[in-house]
Amino acid sequence: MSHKEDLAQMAHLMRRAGFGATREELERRVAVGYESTVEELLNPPEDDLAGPAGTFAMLTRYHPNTLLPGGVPTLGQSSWMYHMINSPNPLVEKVALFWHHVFSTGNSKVDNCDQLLEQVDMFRKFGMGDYRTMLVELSKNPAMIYWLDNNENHRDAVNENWGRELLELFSMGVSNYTEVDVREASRAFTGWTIAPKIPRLPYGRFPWKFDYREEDHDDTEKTFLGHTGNFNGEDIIDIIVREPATLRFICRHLYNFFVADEVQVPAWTIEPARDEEALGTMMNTLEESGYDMKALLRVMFNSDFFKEATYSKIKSPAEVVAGTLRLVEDWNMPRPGIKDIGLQPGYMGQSILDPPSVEGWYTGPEWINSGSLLARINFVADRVADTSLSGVQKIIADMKSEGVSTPGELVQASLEHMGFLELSPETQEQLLGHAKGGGNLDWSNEAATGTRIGEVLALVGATTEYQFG
Amino acid sequence: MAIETVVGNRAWIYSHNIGRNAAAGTGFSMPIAVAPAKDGVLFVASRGSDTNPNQRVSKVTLDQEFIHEFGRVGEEQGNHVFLTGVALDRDENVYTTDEWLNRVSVFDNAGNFLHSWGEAGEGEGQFSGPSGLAFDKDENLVIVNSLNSRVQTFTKEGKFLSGFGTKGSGEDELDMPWGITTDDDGNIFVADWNNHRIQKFSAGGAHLGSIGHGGAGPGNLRHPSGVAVDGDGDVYAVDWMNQRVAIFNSDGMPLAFLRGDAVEVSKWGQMSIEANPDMQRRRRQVSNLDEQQARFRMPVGCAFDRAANRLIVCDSQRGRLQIYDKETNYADPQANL
Repeated sequence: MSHKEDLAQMAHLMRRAGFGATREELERRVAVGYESTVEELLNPPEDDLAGPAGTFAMLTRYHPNTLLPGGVPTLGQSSWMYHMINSPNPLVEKVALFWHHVFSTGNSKVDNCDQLLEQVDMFRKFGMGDYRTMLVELSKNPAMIYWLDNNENHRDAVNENWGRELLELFSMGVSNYTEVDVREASRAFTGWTIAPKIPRLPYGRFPWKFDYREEDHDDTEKTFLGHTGNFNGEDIIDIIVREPATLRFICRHLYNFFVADEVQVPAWTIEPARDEEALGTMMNTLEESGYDMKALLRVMFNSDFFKEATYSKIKSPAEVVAGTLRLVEDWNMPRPGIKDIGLQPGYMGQSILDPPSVEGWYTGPEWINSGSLLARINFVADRVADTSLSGVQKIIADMKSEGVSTPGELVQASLEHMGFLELSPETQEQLLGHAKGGGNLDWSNEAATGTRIGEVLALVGATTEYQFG
Repeated sequence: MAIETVVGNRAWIYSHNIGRNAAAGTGFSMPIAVAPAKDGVLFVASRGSDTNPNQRVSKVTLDQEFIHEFGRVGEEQGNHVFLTGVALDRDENVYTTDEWLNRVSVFDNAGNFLHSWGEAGEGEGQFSGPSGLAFDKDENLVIVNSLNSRVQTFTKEGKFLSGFGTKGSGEDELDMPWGITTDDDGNIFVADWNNHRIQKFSAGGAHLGSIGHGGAGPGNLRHPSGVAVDGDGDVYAVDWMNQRVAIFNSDGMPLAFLRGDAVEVSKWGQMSIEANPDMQRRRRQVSNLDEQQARFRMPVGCAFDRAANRLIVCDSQRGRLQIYDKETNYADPQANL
């Protein structure tokens, strides 16, 4: 592979395993190598995993209200978006976003962004570990318990909400269990609740804690998926992770999130997977590794099916926002107005920490409508054309030092700086046609030339290839 | 629950707490710095929030009386965006720093805006994220420049006098410093936030020593945000990320931690609870309520009122101040009382 092909492949990896990368970062990573970069992403320094590291400290110093935003979703959304933009461990944030897609929990009901951020921290901590542990932690997560009413699930008055979604949306998928299984799973999770917490007045929010109440747990016999015993919640999870349906369900989610857009989840029972062979590889890896997510991600990122899946996934709004802001190096320090970065994905159809339902968001083409498409394009255009931003200034400076002059060189350099994108011939021609209208770059007038470069970058941001991951 | 923290002949006795989370009036919104005045009056700087802009300076009393507030949100003169520090001169005029607007604002004791000074920049006498500020024994202002890691001294009218400090992790360097104080000898103590230590300098900027280093154990600090020194030379480091105040003696030896002792609800806090029956019911259901309620949650600033031998800690996330009285020449009572 040529050096530029290496850079393009690395750009693809960083879009999927992170939120994109500047050309400078891509050069550094290519020098390290593809597989080594995968390992670096999979094995971040322990210190930076969950909390009191630099990104968190910096944000909380300048915006202390992002620590315990309570029922104000904007500050919680801003907090997470700031981490997506600035985390030195982008895959940790990306994996957390993946689990937030699957285990969707929303502020619309929880009314407690503190606990939603705590759940995100849990995804950061356990997201690349083993899936069984993740399910156990999820079952004990206060935001999830409240979201799916398990605090209302009592020995003598069973509430099936958590038990149903555990099977339908979090592990096996519909048509792989019966209504009786839902009931029995729910009985096994009776007594898994949250302890009363100090209310918000007068000193602000205090944390919820998981509380297991043995006296409220139904310890009698249950029959679940053909197994019989006096099951408790963890026993149910042990049975779930032995089911082939679970392997397929989780791998299909991962394929949809990291590799290529699938049909929406409700259609999975009737539509075959986009790439059954790739799905089979992923399922085998997950099973052989004992549900080790890191092992699966390693195989997936290093596979040919992943490397060849360029432009086969429409970026989620969070990816558009975080990726663009990383590229232009905006919001790498907190400043007033931070709520804007939390709100932007919502304008495009994805209010993080506040999904539309427990089903999460519909992805792929569902991200695009006449309003969201304009919001996405305008967001990118406004940033990449802003020559006051340091990332844009670096792009301009690079082009100058590279001696970029002709319209063709301008288009090519712009595509490289925005992720080594390869446009369709038709789009490439249209872009070139626009660039030709301005003639060659005039470096004696840097301000005007910067503006011209910004315009071309903005047009690149509107292309299918940029809007796809 | 340690309501009294005793080390040798010193004791820090929890007195009470003031405040509640409130966007205006009888409470604070992320209190970030405090300056004690005469007669039990306190000036408290609230950082506020991006979504509910309630930054302000509140004038209150130790007896939990609200007097008035000023310096609210805005870029106009007399307002604040990133309100960070507060200090009083001998006439009890109020000086505040704004690390976004890069200026010092001056108010009289009644909160009337007088004037402001300062300009953004990296040069001598310019501001780059001014955060902590304190008066020295000559009634000049020493001000931390957080973003370029410098400490600068000005007359209280804003004339630049001197400065020192470079960014780094070396012995005499600073990295994003935050709080600052001076002692009776004119020495300057800086909360070296990103280096997890307190730095001590002479008035002329000579490095005299460091207190603490990164970690969570005794003698350790994680992102210290505030610093105060009492008349005995004991140093108080607000150990922001470790959720405590670490106390050191004048030689830098660790003495004790304060972790927050607010077992009781403040007067204004009680008003919130009494007005909300659901809050009362829920509080009755909480186990170990006192223990949870008492603790600091990311405290930021502190001040030591030497006239009253009293430590005041901004318990920022809880919207309150926790007050400790220091007793020197403390003698432990007989065991068989």
